[in-house]
Amino acid sequence: MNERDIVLEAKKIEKRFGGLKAIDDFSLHLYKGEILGLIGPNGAGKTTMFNIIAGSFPATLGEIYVDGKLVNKPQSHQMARMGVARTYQIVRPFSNLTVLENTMVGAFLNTGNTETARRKAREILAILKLEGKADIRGKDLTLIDLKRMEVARALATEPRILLLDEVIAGLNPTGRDMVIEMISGIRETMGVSIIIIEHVMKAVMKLCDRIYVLNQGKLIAEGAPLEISSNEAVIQSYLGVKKHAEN
Amino acid sequence: MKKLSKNNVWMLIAFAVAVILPNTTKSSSVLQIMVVTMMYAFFTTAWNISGGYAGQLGLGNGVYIGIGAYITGILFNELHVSPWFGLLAGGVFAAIISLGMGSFTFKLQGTYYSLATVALLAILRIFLNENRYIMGWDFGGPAGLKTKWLGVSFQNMQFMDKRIYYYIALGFLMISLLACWHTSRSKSGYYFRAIDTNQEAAASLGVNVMQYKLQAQFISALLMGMGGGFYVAFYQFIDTETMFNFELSFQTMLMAVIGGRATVFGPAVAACLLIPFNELLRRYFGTALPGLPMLLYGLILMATIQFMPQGVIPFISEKLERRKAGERARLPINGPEPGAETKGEANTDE
Ligand SMILES: Nc1ncnc2c1ncn2[C@@H]1O[C@H](COP(=O)(O)OP(=O)(O)OP(=O)(O)O)[C@@H](O)[C@H]1O
Ligand SMILES: [Mg+2]
Repeated sequence: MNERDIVLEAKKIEKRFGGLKAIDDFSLHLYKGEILGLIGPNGAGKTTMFNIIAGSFPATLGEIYVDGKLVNKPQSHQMARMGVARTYQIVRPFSNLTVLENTMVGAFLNTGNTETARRKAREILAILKLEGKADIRGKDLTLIDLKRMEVARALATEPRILLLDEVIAGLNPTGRDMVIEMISGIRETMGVSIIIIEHVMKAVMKLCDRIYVLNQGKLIAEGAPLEISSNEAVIQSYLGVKKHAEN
Repeated sequence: MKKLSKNNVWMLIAFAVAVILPNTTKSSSVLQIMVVTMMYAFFTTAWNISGGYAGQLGLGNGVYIGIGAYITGILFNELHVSPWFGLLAGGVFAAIISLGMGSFTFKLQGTYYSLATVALLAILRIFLNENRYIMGWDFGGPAGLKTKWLGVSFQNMQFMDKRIYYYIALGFLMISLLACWHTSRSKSGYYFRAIDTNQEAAASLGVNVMQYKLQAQFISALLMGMGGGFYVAFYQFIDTETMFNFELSFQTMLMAVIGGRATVFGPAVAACLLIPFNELLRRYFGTALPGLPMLLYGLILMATIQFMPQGVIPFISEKLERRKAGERARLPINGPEPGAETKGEANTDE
């Protein structure tokens, strides 16, 4: 991995919702091939950050760079074309379409041909071990499968940057291991750089090369997993609470 | 492959019946119903592309039929333009209007587009009622526009034999069914349906939502405008009341909703069942009980939405699918969690 190549950078982002500062002067960068963790307590602004990076809504202040190029007024479909794909914390399936069709919608980003898109979608489903559910409609899926389908759909766009919002939380231990394996598999085989938002610490520690910790919209720590888990401020505002709850 | 050819057999049978049908009667009024049925099947199939696949419940979409009809009629009367070309011009004009309407309403919400088309209905009705002559051309005002009878001629689309109108309408229906079929399996069709269910998710996968909505609207308006051109050639008369009232739009939408939005054949099938029914009701009870057809329509619609919210055709095909899949569908395909929209709250366990 070449640590010099920054594929995504967010500079001095601020986001206000009315009087609330959901993000407050936060910057992050993502190296090529890296798995980056974004953690912090509820309401810290993690999902808001994804929405800004993915172009769902504009930041109040700050800039987004992809491959060192400033993205002017990022919009969702443009970000997707620049190689940014995402999943949603609260799933947004195309519920009347099957898993295969959902994935095909993603695959159509790089082709106008239906058969090519179908082949591509099948490939992705095979990698994620979802082939068996290809013909089930979104509305008939369980939460686990919906989350995996969103990953499939995002991967079908052949992204270079993948944003995963809590794809592990809510799963049972076997489900967790499966998804953890899936995520590292995606990095290895597809060379995608990944940012994950996750509350399940074991997964974060296992997967991430580097972690940002947010609290009330502000950065409180950044570093390797070991540094983070021993960081005083992080323990105080986030991990301490979790450690307590875990026992 | 077997299944495919079975579907093809059904389609061939339906097509053969449609071709033979007008030759089974000499009654002019029965033929009239057949032509009207084909025409409405065409309208509703055209509506289906934007209203069904792309999910923009265009309430006033009938306005494009009216625009196509008036343009075809006026070009014929004033400049002797053949309705064959007139209806193309009408379709293109309607499609351009739809782009204009779409580009400033789609930025808001789907409903605004719908309301804007309803407003356009009212505006055009009032405008044409108040302005009988435009650029010296006689649009007929409230009395309506009657096309000149120049004698039987293919070029002028004027025939004594109603079967010819029937076959022209059938031809148009085939074109719109083909358009729908092609849409349903093309990239655009997948994008339309994605936009219909979840606009934001579609955008996150690279779909330019605005562009595809306009595209869907453009195709529907183009076909509906052409249908309007046929309408005026067939009736040889249009007025502001029938072209720009809410009923034409409403019926067009209703048949698609009842038959099955975003299915290729659903809307046309519903038209083939409902229009003859409606025409018969109107014929036998129309003067005695003027509200009856609309009332029954309402009841049918309510029943459909209650029992088959996706429409008749998807309901039946899903039933058949289930029966065939039989055991496979009954296997527990899913894991433990059922609720889909529930969010995994912050996880502190493990
Ligand atoms: N669209 C919005 N409008 C107004 N306020 C919002 C909006 N989205 C988020 N917020 C607020 O911004 C803050 C940050 O929310 P966000 O969803 O980013 O938190 P999070 O870190 O993802 O939390 P969680 O771990 O619970 O998912 C919260 O106070 C939230 O209520
Ligand atoms: Mg969140």
